[in-house]
Amino acid sequence: MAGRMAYNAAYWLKTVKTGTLLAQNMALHERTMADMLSQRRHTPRVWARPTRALMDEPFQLEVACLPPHCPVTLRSTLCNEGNDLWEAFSHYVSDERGRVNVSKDESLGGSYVGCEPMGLLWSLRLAVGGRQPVRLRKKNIQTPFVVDISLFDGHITDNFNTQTALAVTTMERWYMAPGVRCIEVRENGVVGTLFIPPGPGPFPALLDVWGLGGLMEHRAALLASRGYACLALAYINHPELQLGSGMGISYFQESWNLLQSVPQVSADRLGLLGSCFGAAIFILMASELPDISPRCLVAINSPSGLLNPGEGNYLEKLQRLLPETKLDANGHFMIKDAILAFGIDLERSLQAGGIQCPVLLIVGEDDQCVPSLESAQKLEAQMRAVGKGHLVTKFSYPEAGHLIEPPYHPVMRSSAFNLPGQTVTMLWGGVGKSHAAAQEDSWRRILEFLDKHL
Amino acid sequence: MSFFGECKRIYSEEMKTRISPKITAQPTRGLVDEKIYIRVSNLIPNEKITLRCLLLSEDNDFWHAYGLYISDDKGVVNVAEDVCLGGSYTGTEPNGLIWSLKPVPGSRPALRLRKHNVFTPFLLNISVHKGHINGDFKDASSLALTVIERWYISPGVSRVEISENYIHGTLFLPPGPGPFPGILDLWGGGGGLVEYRAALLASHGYASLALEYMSTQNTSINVNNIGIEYFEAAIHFLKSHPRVSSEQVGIFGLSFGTSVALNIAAKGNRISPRCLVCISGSHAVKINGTIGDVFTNLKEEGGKIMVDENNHFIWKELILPRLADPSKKVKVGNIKCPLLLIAGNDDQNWPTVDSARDMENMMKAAGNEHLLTTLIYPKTGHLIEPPYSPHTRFSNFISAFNQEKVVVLWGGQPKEHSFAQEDSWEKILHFLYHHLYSSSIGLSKL
Repeated sequence: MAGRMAYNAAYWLKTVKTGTLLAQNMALHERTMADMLSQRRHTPRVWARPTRALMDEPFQLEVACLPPHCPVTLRSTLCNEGNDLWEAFSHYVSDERGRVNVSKDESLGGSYVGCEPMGLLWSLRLAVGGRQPVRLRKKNIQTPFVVDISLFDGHITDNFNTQTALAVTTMERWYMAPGVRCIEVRENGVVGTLFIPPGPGPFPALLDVWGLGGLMEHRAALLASRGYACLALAYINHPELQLGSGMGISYFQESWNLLQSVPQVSADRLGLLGSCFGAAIFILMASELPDISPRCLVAINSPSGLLNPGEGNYLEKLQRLLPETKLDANGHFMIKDAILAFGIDLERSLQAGGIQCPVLLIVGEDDQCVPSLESAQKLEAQMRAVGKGHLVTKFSYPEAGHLIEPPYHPVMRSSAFNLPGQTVTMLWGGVGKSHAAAQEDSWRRILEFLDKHL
Repeated sequence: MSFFGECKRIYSEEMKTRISPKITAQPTRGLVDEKIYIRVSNLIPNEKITLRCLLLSEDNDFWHAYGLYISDDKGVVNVAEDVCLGGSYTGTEPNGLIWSLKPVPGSRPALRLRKHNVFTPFLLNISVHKGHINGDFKDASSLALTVIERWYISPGVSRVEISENYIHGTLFLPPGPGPFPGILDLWGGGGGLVEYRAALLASHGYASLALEYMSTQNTSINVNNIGIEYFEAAIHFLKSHPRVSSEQVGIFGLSFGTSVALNIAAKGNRISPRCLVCISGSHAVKINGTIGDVFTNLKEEGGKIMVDENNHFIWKELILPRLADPSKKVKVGNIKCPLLLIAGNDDQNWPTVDSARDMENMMKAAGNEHLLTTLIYPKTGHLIEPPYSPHTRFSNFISAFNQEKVVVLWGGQPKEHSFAQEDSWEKILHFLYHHLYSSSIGLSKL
């Protein structure tokens, strides 16, 4: 047997000009093949369905042609736009038919345990040690993330690069559905990206904002893939924002007007969707500005105890907060308590009673960045006080942190964050599995809410 | 000029407050053999609508299909479940908008939809139109639109050009170290290098070699130079490739490719395939010398060539007389591997059904008919392609043998032919998996 393999290798090395295997890999391959064949195995098969999907779509992952009751490791890897390598892995044991079904079977260890059909995506971490963890962000929204899923013999936890995978499958994960149009917006000082579904419309539309991280397009792209014209808006921390313009209320008024004037947008079907500081701004807008009449509002982990019109810009506020910020045991910034202290002063708190439309509040109870639960409770109370409590729907997730992203996004308890003058590691909060479940559930609730009201 | 300044507001006040109809199609980026699920919502209840699918081919022709539907009480049309009342197809046909694609009126005649570059998808625009439209969409604006991609190749599959040891073709390898079962993929008398089926098979886990054996450009692959040894060399290449499992190599043929496969399998030497998939072919084509000799014999045989009322060539009776002559037929009784034989009984190009019956008899007499599975589909023509390729009843054909340009009648009716493509492909994949993946006979030989 070994002799035959050696013959084939020599023949191939002599005659084949195409192909990319190196001689060393051939030797490794021979040994592994001989091992496998001596154990009377076929090449195992691993396959994911669908192979090309949107980021918020689940996938099934199955393995077949293993020996029965065989321990294996599944490893997912993602190379982010040619730079960082992200990975996750999990341990399974094949059943008596030699199969593993990630949607049904339990992981016995690795990046996650238990039955987690999408665990290989949401437990992805930067593979390179020693660096600060960063959020997974895609610069080019129009190309997919490519995820490889490899199968290894046995339960292994590291040194994957020195082992030969038994089988590999590849998936593409997209933010944009085919036909969605992506338009850069730099108009009247407004900086953002407009995503429009294919077709004549008119479409219901959303303004989408995040916290202090510049222009985040991925959620808007997904929402357009679900049928909403969506303007992802930058209002802080973006090189093209005219100095000082991103801070004022007039900027948001301008953005609103702009979105309304898009021909493919149904002008009386606009909504607001925001995370973090952006959500607080939207709550302010909806409550205080008569010209802004959203059909509905979604606020994810909003620190609405912080803002007040005319109180100066947000960067200044943040800088005032910094000396009061505590560090946790790992030296990660815990901004939440500082914000809480800030907001206790009643004069400064945001009055949400002016909101006329249905509001969906998504709360991560373990949010370590903003006092999300307290803010949500205050907002509910304010609306109840003016007889509008029935407009508020709240979904509160214990053990979910600040960064509630669309489903299956890698879950980060803390990551690097650029503050003016320094890069710190910010503690966001959230416990792996629960936070992932919160992302999945909240997205479903958000889409249902938008479908109902827009 | 700003983007927004240029666009005019064209919608009336009344339309502003109505929710637009919404159309979704799943999967958004699927393989060509995956079923599609199209759903339209936010329509007026019991509203007449037309669904239209539009595609621009790589040859710059527009293809389209359309179906007439009526929404239910909730204003929903669900193509997988609802009945199409007319258009390119009728009845409950979940995938009708794809397999009934035809060139738009005014196109060049006798076209066939084929993909050349497997690394780009077909883009289908699926639109909803008000009312029942009778095929003329020039002035019809759509209520809603969605776009889906249809791919012949999965992510991770790699493409390797092969031109060595005088074999010419393209090898598609699934991702991973393998080794994988291998398939030699053979097309027919049109010649050239056709890659899309091999790419699709690789997406299902098979190292697949699309082999070119009749080329007008590449003079080294001239039919007068190539005999059965060429194909045997291709199989040997596959078997000895480091990412291919040498005991699990099969042959997949259509039309002339089927005859090649049968010739190789019946030879019973060390180049023995693990299994054969033979579509729309015949054993009444023996390869003794070069391929050129074979085609010359075909012409000189004297079998009947007919034309239909449109002067389209019907070649199915050309080799029919050979079925009576054992010396002209491949000895299928010598075949030692499982064989899946697929034919359409409206095949106007080859006598595939008569050949299939004759093969059955020969194998019964020889005692190896347990290896044979035959699938014969009614109202199905010659070009049994992967689903949901549009059915082509006739098309332009340039023989790679003599560069004759004719229009050939392939046969088949759209609905039944499309069913045959869908059904046979499912059975083919099952057959290949059973014999090339899960069977353990290969191991015991070690």
